[in-house]
Amino acid sequence: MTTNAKTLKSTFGLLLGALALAACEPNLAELRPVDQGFRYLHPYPQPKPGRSPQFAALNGKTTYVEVAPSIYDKSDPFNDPPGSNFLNTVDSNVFDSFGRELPNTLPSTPSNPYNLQDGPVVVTPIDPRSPTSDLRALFRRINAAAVADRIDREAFQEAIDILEGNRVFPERHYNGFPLLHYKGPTKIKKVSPVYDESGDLVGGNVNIHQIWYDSHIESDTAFLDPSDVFDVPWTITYTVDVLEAGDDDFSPFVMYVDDPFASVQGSPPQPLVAMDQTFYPMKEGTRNVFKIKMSRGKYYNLSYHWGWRIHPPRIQVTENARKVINGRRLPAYSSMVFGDVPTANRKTKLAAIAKLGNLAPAKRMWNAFNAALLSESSQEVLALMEEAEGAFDDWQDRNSLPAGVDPDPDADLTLFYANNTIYGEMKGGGIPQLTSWTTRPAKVTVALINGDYFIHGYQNVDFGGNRGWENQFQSTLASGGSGPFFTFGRTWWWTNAGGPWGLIDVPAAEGDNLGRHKVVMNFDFEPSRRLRMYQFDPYHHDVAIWSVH
Amino acid sequence: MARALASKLAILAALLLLWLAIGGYAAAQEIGIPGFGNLTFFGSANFGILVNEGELGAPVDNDSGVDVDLQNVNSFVGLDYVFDIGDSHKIIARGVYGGDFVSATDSFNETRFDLYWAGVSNGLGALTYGRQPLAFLQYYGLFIDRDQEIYATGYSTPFAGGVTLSDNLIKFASSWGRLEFGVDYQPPGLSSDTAADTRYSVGARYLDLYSRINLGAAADISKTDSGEHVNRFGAAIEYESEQWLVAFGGHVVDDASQHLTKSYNALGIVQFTENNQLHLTASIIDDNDIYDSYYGGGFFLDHRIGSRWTLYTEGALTRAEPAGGGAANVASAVIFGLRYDFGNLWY
Repeated sequence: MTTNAKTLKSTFGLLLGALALAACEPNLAELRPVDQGFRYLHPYPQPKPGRSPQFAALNGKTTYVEVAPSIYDKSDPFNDPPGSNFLNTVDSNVFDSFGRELPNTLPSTPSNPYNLQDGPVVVTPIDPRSPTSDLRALFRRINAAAVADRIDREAFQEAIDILEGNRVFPERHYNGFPLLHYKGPTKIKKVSPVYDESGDLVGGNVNIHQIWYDSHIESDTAFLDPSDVFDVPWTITYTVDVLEAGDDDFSPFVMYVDDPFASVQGSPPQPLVAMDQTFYPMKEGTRNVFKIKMSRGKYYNLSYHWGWRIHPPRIQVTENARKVINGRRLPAYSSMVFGDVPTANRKTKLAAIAKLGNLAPAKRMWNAFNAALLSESSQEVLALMEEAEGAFDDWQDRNSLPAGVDPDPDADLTLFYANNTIYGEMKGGGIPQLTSWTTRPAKVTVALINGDYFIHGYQNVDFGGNRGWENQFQSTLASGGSGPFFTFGRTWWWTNAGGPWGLIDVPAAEGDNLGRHKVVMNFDFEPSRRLRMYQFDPYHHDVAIWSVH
Repeated sequence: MARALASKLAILAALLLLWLAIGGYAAAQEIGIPGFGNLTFFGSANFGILVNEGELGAPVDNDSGVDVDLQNVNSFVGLDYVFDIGDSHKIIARGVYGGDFVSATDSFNETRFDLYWAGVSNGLGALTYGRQPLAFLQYYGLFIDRDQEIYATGYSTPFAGGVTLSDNLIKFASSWGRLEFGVDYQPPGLSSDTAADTRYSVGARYLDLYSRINLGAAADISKTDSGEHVNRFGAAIEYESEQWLVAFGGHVVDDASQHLTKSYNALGIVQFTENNQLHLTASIIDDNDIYDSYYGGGFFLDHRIGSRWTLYTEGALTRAEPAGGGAANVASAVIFGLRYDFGNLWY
């Protein structure tokens, strides 16, 4: 026998022996005892639907999108549930396209419904006063003074401090959180790596502080850099202060991408899976400290914090700061508009706030209080407060367009970008449900109006309608939770419009001229029963979101 | 003089790869052109110890004995550029240089790691020009050839008439849902490739039929300077499970020789732990011009360490009988290698 033949025979023998000894891990029959059939790969990656061809009208004012067709047979999930896009529950983590398990991607098990909470939630009572309650009190105080022909300038300044998020209320839990969304460039954090005794990287943690009140979630973190925990699991320690009218279930919906090195070099990581990591009830007037287990840093796309009781407005996103659009990392888009440190001094602050549209309710309040500050007439103050209180009412309702903005009669829904957030209104008003879309095909027209003095973008994402969704959350009724009834579940997400298929920009407002664009999407799949579409501004994500059920 | 310069450049490139491997990629990630598109610097340093006896695919024993070499396998560096110019239009470009970064003595001109192209894309698809992969590779070849160096599947190796890249290629590629297709045209008189003065290549593949089956087919029609036509047709089918994959493909090459060259290939991949994959390949070439018979087999076994490092071994064995009779020649090669990948859009 020649040398080469001996070498190869030995090598093949070793390989075959290895194969015989090493059965595939994990065992699929144990992993997925109720197999849903040939076409369902979950918890391995569900197939990718393909791209959405986009075309812009010659005048550039409308984008037409042919959304990628469904990977499933036609069904009617709303009238004949659960529908072909519903995935049976699997008590397992999910896997990436390299066949690797993503740790910490099983949110709930029968024995532990809150499987991704690292330790118990620490709950302590706090002062529930919110910007809403304090502004309401200030309106009463200012108006009472004006009626008595006095001008309460101290109250004007207090209201301005609340709107600007000036740190002059140390006793308030919302201290430092503005109503005006101009602090984006300062809301960046990096996950701190954690090493064991021998110096090996074993994890990481980052602390995030949020306040929940009325229809608002505000966070001190809009961007997270997980690059130091690229290949290890990590945690987010959330401190959530639930202020007046902020009761809800804490449900950070994390969106993961595939391993970045599974993409062709130069391409962004591909969409993978997303899930509500917990669904834990929180009470008004409490501070709740959660430690949430995350998967490896390389998979991190974003965390979508939402409260189902007032959704879509109750929403905030913390996004991977490493993401790039046209050569700029995401935080750079915020700095381009608001400056590197908008809170550095009064001049930089005013310059940043000037970028926010004057039709935005919070900006209208700010303008009115600043005008009142200069006023010498109590009658003028009363008139200004009437305008401010109207804006205050508008500010509390992001499910209808504020004063001065009319919905597009030809659109199924109209979105209005103002104060770096999104106000939305369905055609004919009412709750944000697109009931006309239950089965394929469906045509949806979204009118986009920009009231801010900088460019906003539009991206539309599917939460499992096309690739499949699973109501993974176990019953939490015993602990007062509502997990399985409202959760988005664990979904294989995909982009419908914008983003990788081409940026969709909404021009900046110029003076009183609002920027306008329209998106017409043809859908060829059935939506998830829990959320039809996730819409947001990819340049300034944070609270610029308006999803549709 | 030119050779000395090439050697110096190769050494510089090798040092660059070394720098990137030890952490310099952090700096390389920040080479973007803010506001003017995503520029990504990427590459792979891939070296191994190669043990080979004879020349893979050769029908006659050349008595070369057993060689043991430190070998650059398929190291490359590249730049990718995507600029979204709005209204759903993009400018796209890519350049990759692959070569022997140690001695610069080997030419990789005929491999897929030396390409450069530019173009535009929009809702219709992508239109590009330059030296780029042929539709015949994209829609047929990659089903059975997963980018390794010495697979011996009978496709990537030249003895079965496989083709990978072409110069001065005008390419249009598009997709609709999970159907992807492409058309290539190489105008006459432009290419330095003596094997094809002009060329048409078309291909299509349908992915995830019933979530698990992928189908592909392609044709490549070329004409040499001397007017000789070479026609290639290939088709493949792949079944992909959660943890394993099997693919079969075959192609036929019709050139000026007396007989058709037919190649039948099989690929199996088993993922037996989350960090370990085994690839097994087999191929038969039916060609009575060069071979009376040809059988090839190969394996690839890897161990992934994180996302960037891969430790692997790969081997191939061919048994070929020359046309017109004579003893069969058996050749083999085994490599033990280490690969480091760097560079993508986010990290």
